Amino acid sequence: MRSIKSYLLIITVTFFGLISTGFSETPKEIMRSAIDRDDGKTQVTRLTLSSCRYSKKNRKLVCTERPRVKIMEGIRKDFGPDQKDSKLITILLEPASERGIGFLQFDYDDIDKETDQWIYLSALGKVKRIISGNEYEPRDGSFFGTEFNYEDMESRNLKNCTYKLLAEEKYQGRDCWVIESIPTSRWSKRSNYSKTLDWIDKERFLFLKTILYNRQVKRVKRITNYAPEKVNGIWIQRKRLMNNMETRRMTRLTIDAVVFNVPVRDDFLTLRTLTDKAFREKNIKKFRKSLK
Amino acid sequence: MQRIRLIVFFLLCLTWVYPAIAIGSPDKTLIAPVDPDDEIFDESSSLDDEDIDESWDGEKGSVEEKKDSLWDIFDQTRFTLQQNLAYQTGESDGLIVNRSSIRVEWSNLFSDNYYLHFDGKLTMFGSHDHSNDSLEEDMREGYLQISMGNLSVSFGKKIVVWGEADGAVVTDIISPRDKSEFAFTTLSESRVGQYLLLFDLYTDSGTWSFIVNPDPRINTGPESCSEYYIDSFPDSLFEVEVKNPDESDTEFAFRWKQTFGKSDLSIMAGDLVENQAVYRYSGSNSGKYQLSKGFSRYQMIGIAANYASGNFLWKQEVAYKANRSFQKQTFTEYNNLLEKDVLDMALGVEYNYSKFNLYLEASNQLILNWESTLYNEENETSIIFIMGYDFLNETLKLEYSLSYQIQNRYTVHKVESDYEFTDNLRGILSFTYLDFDKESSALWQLRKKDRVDLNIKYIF
Repeated sequence: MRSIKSYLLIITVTFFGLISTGFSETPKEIMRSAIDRDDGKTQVTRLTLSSCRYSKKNRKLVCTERPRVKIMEGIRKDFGPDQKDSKLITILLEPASERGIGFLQFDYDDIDKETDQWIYLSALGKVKRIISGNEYEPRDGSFFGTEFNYEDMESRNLKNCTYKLLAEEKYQGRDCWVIESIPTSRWSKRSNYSKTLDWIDKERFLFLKTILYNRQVKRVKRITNYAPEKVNGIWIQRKRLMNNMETRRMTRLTIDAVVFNVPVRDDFLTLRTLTDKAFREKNIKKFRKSLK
Repeated sequence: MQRIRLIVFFLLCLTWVYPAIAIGSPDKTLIAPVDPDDEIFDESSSLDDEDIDESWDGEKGSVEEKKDSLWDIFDQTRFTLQQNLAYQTGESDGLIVNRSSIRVEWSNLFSDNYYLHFDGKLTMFGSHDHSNDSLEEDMREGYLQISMGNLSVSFGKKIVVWGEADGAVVTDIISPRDKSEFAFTTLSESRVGQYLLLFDLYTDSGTWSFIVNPDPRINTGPESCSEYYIDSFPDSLFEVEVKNPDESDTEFAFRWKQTFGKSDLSIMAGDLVENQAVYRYSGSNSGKYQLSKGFSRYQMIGIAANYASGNFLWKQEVAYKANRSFQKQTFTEYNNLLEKDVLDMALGVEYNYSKFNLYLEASNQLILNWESTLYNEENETSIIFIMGYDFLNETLKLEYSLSYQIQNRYTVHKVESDYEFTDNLRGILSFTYLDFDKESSALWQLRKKDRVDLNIKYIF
């Protein structure tokens, strides 16, 4: 099976990476504010992922081949006593060959609890459980040919790193903190990265840019988030660019439409939605009407 | 020029970093910008579209205001144009498959509760194709689904997939399979739809499914005179009367499925018709043996479960099947069929790490109270091994698979490359090598029918 399980996690980035509110001062508190921000109790998103090889022209990244494009819809709802667990359904719309493939993912705040994932393959007509990975190995597989790997897509956990404030500088015209994150000894066994630098908007607590260093402490990836916008009182960034400096490929993630805090029934985020197409389409049709 | 740009950029960077040094809170040793190479945002100008890479072509996916139209019901239609060529490399080499097909998959939701689905395929057989037909139309599925509250009801032609195992048929016994191309058809393409009524009840205590199938279908075998046809009963010696299942052979089946932490568990039961035919001897007439080709009933109760742990996914299925009919070694004697109970089992493990995946499955059919006069062995054991690797950002997949039947000593090796030229165009090239080692096996006739397949698909 192709590693299409990654779709689930691709959409996670829009829920955990592009939204922000809050305030704090020490590096750890700044990160806490950026990670544990209000992202709505529910979120419905339509997004596009485009990936290609690039070349640099006048400091711009330009595709040198026809991009591979994937379009999907995702519905997330938070659960648990602190609303830190979440359930997410993702349905593929494009390309046509993958249309109808669906994913269900349960994420847990507890770092000892592995993610639960299922995929519905329309070609097989069957729901399959997906392996979520090993605690002691980095998850470096690509998400369906995008430059995001599994780890890039996971929601960050504050407990996994130690933090240091490196600088305060302007980026994208915004005042930012630059925070260095170093994995703890436990997390370093699983992480693909030895260090992460984040540019965090001081006012909005948005991640504007992230630089990732591999295990040999070489800069390998740069994630840039831009096109900020307030939707339903929550800051989002409509676009995210992943530049893989090693492979000279990039993936751009665009939030085409999003809405927060719409009512989502608990039974929608179950295996039923993957197989019961009448039930799924009926509910998604309602969500589509509220998308912005 | 480039050097000047670099100096200017460096000076600009210095001005951004200076305030950070001045306020003293960050690391004071930092005097250079943290990321001098940012190619997306040049801080020398304000943030606008010029600073962002928009030189991307193939822009798709923006949400457009759209007026409702009658044509919207075709929005989700998928067309697959396919050309399939196969070259046999065994003793009688040459082109044996040359067929073009168009597949249409359409679905739409009406009035919030009614979901219609259609999946049909039209195949044209070209010159050198081993099929006897020139044109074949096949409605794989065509059903109406109604969803009300916790209940969903489907009726029409539908494929039902049960079980966890990827290769063995232990509990995946509802939909029969098309075996007309022997081992050269993928599992998903080989499934055959049946006209049935399916109830799914979704509750907190699990999903309860009930199937009533008044029109049970059977496995489709190779057509006579086609490349994979085995003529076990030549006309000169046998007269075979075919008795296909009818309304009186209605199948009933039930499944309960629930998730428990890292595991999914299903319990299934059914009163079913065999998907594979048996031949009952009924005497001789005009020097020819009279055989009746039929499909007997049997009952099944089974369990399927999976368990995810780290990079491993374990899959297990066990089924007890009562009153299955087995052929004796001698066809031409009365009571040449024996009813036996069977214990079917499969255990598989999937390993997935990065771009590499591996699957190993062992399955066994044990005939209880086996007799030596039976054509089947007491134990029939199969091993399936699949190893795959993704290349080129998952646009190219290479896979090797092996299927080995221990008692009959036949092995099918397959090497396949699957390349996505674009999001719509895909090419699959494979080589299948058949290694049959037992002359008394029914499949002995199919040895040396190795073949190279080329499959081009355009999906839109």
